[in-house]
Parts: sequence; C-alpha cells; structure tokens
Amino acid sequence: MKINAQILAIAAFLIISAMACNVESLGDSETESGTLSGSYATMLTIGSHLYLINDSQITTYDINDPKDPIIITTQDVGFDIQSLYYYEGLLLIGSSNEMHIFELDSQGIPQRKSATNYNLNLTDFCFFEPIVVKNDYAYVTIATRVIDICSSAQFNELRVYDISNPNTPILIKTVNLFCPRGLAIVDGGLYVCDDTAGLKIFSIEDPKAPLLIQTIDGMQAYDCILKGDLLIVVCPDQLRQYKVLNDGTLEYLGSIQI
Amino acid sequence: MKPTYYAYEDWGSIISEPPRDFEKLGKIVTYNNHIFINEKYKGIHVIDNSDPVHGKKIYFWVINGNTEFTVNGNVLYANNGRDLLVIDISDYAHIVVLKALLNQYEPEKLKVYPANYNGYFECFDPSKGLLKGWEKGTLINPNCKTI
Repeated sequence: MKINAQILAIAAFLIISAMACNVESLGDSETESGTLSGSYATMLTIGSHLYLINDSQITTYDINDPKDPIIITTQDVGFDIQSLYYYEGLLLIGSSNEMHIFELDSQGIPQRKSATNYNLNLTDFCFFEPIVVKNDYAYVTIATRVIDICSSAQFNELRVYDISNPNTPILIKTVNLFCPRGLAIVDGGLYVCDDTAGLKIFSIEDPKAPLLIQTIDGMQAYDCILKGDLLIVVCPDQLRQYKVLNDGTLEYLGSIQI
Repeated sequence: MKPTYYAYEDWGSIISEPPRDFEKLGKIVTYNNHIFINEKYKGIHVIDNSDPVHGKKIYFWVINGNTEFTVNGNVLYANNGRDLLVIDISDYAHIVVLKALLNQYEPEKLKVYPANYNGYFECFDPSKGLLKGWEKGTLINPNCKTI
C-alpha cells in the first residue's frame, strides 16, 4: 500500500508538472519555436497550435503532428483583418478599423476580450494597421497614405493603447508620422517603418510617450523584424540590416539587394 | 488581353530553385540563421544570414500564388491564394508538399491587370486558378478595363 501511495504521489506530481509545462508553452511563442515573424504575419505557431487569419476569421489548428494540421475551430473576428501578433497569452489582431484582442484559454482556443474601434470614420478600408505589444502597452500604426487614391481623409500615426485590462484598452497617446507601416519592439525601443520617410527609432523608456531619437532615411521601409540585437528592415526590393546599440540607436551592417 | 492560369492543385510545381532577383517583397519570417521572405504571388526567397553583413540568397521556393506563410521547424505552412499547404523543408534544396488543406482562404478578388496595356480585358477569375500571365486572344466577356 505504501508503494502504491508513492506511485500515486509521483503520478500526481507528473500530471501537475505536465500541466505546468502546458501553461508555460503558451507563454512565449518566439523563444520556444525559434521562429520570428514580421508585423504583417497572418499565421503563427504557438505550442501545439497553428493560428491563421483570413480576412474575417481566425482558424485554430492542432499541430501536435506538425505535418498533419487538424482544424479545431474557426471563429469570426471582424471585417478586413490583416495582422496577427502574440504576446504573453494574448493574440492581437489588426484590422483596417479595429484592434481585436483575444486571450488563449488553457486549451489554446482564442477567447474574445475586446474590439477597439479606431474611430477613423472612413468609408474606405485601404490601409494597414499592424500591432506590437510590450508589457501593458500596445503600439499600433495607422496609415492611409499607403494607397492614397482611395482614401479621402489622412490618418498617418502611431497610437499607444494601455491594455493592462485587455477587456478595455485605453488610447493614451498619438504620434503623427508620414505613413507608418510595420514595427518592432524591444525593452526601451520601438522601431517604426515610415515608408518613404525611412525608419524612425523611438525611445520608450517612458512606454506611454514614445520619443523620437533617430531617423534613418534614404529607403522605403515597410516592415521590420528584431532578432536579438539585429534589426532586419524590409524594403520593396531589398533587405537592410542594422545592429541595435546599447542606447537603442542603429548601426548599418549591410543589405541584400535585388 | 486575357489571363492565363496555373492550376491550384499543381503540387509538382512547388520546388526549390536557385536564387532569384527581388521584385516585390512581402512578408518576412526568421528561423535560426535563415531569413524567409515572400516574393508576392511567386514564392519564398531563402537567405543564409549567418553573417548579417553579407546575407546571401541560397534558394527560391516556387509556390505560385503565395503571400502568407510561417516556418515551424522542418515544416513550412504556406498558402497558394486558396489552400493551406504543408511542405516538408527538412532539406532546403528539395522541398516536398505533404498535405493540402483545401479552401482555407477566400481567393481574393485581386485587382490585377495586364501591364503596359490600355483598354478592355478579360477579368482575372480566381475560381479558375492562379494568375500565370496575360496573353492576346479571343476575349470572352471582357468586363474589365484599365484605368
């Protein structure tokens, strides 16, 4: 009987450990899988799930066998959704007029927390709004200049939302830019691709008030990705690479052209 | 002008080829020391970035219609405009389609038009396949017009 009790105790310990691991595996997709995505991603793998957005819906696939994804569920999100970002158990989905926040439940299924309208009051939807998050703050770029022939009004700005309560995001800051597109974030630094106005580097030592500390022009920057201290910038026909220095500013390393 | 098409189900056309020029870059993913970047509607450039000062294109994965993808270890998930493809990339030089989940996307109503051409043309119809190119010929219902 004593042995049985020990086995039970070990079994219980193993089950609890396994549960703990499962929760942990939903903690940080990036370090776990080693895959990093640009800010216009529409597919992400997190733990044993693949999440995919397509225009109006999000589909969750079981990828315990990565070679054989199986659909678990498909959910409606909203109109014209374009970007998918993961941060500490939250999925943030950017659409042309809203920021959607979902939380992954213990089974990895997205559960809606909020949908925040940008209140642009535009009748046309021909722009892009990727999102990044650090701690309690979401940084969203809004750009209507991208295809200016189809937009009557101009909104070209970086917005900061307090999402400490993901049910009720609060807009706390707006920074006007030329045509902000993709962006990347690290502790203390925010890198915003501002199309033909180049790359803008902000200090977010005060996360509520991004402060411009460097501009690198001479390129059409539309997306970027941070990999440790390496920043890769995507231009329409080239990739440019920079080293992130201690103060957050950038040093040019090289480019891959044509 | 009228559009010509690739068949969606032409899995055999999905292959690893020598590097190509950048034309119109799309979405980006990194994994280990590699950068993967979409060439809109054509496939994915594979870059060896072990030395970021001298990043080097090493392969081009031909996936007609591709705009969206992610890398999960030895597996690539990529669209062809309509389907979600599961592709074995354990050997970057020889990629193999393992599975296709059909109709995971609404084929977008692409505002595509023939380059260097003015006038009426036959509209691109995504239900017929992936856009391959444009050719002259007898037009059926040329309801599209260049602006």
